[in-house]
Amino acid sequence: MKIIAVGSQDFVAGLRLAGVNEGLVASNYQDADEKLLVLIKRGDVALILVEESYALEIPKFYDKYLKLKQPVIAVIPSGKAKEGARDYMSELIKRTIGVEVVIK
Amino acid sequence: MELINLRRRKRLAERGLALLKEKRDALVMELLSLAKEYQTVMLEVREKMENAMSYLALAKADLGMYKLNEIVASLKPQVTIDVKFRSIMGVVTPMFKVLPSVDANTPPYNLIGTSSYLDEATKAFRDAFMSVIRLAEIQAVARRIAEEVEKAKRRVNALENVVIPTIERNIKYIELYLDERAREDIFRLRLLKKKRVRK
Repeated sequence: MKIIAVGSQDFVAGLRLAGVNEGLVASNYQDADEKLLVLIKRGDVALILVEESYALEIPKFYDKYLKLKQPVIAVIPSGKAKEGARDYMSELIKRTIGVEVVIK
Repeated sequence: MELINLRRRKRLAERGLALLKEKRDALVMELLSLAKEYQTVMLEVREKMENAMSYLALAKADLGMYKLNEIVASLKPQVTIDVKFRSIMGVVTPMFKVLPSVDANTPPYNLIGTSSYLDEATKAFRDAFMSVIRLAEIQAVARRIAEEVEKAKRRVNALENVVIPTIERNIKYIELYLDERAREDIFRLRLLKKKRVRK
């Protein structure tokens, strides 16, 4: 099974150096969206690593990709978090438990 | 007869409800502990990736973007990934196992024509990679568990607010009806007795 990275040129190049099987460079989030749509239909992909800055831009990213069982799509940061950026994990917890949980 | 049946069903529903509540709470605990781990791993990945990105920028400056792209495009795949499934409280969650297919100390590209910055960058990214995979795994597991929590929550609500009250209402109705019948019987008997005494 393959790991595929989708993101900016640097992100993809870095993960390729780390050993990821394939990398798709996307120029913007729409491009990334299109590439993901194709990727999820391929059968040989186990894990797709999407750069955080793109993942946060794609509309309905959660419903479209994160609900899938196969392949698993993960949001990977490539640097520091932006101030006030959304975080899928805390949103997930807020939705399931009903309250915002601050973990220290 | 029906009353006995209903009572049995009510007991069953109550037991199921307690069990489901327990499951839900256990899953929520699991989710919270995952969230905690997620935060630490996320920070780790952020730091490592940022560090590695700076090395990559150096390599880019040294080699030039064109050359770097060429090298990256010609890299051989170094890992394969194995997905195993594990069950947490009946929730099937994926587990990734990365199998390196080449020695981790040899660079995946030709040493001729590349710079030491690229070596550094490769090392940094390899270092970050394990955390990245762990992060991906946590995300996947957390999503599945959250889904299951929602399912359990819906079931708990259905049992608590619909199924059990309905059964209770039915039991009450039957009991009332039976009581009414018993009273009628007593009354009828008394009437008959009076008639007999009068004769």
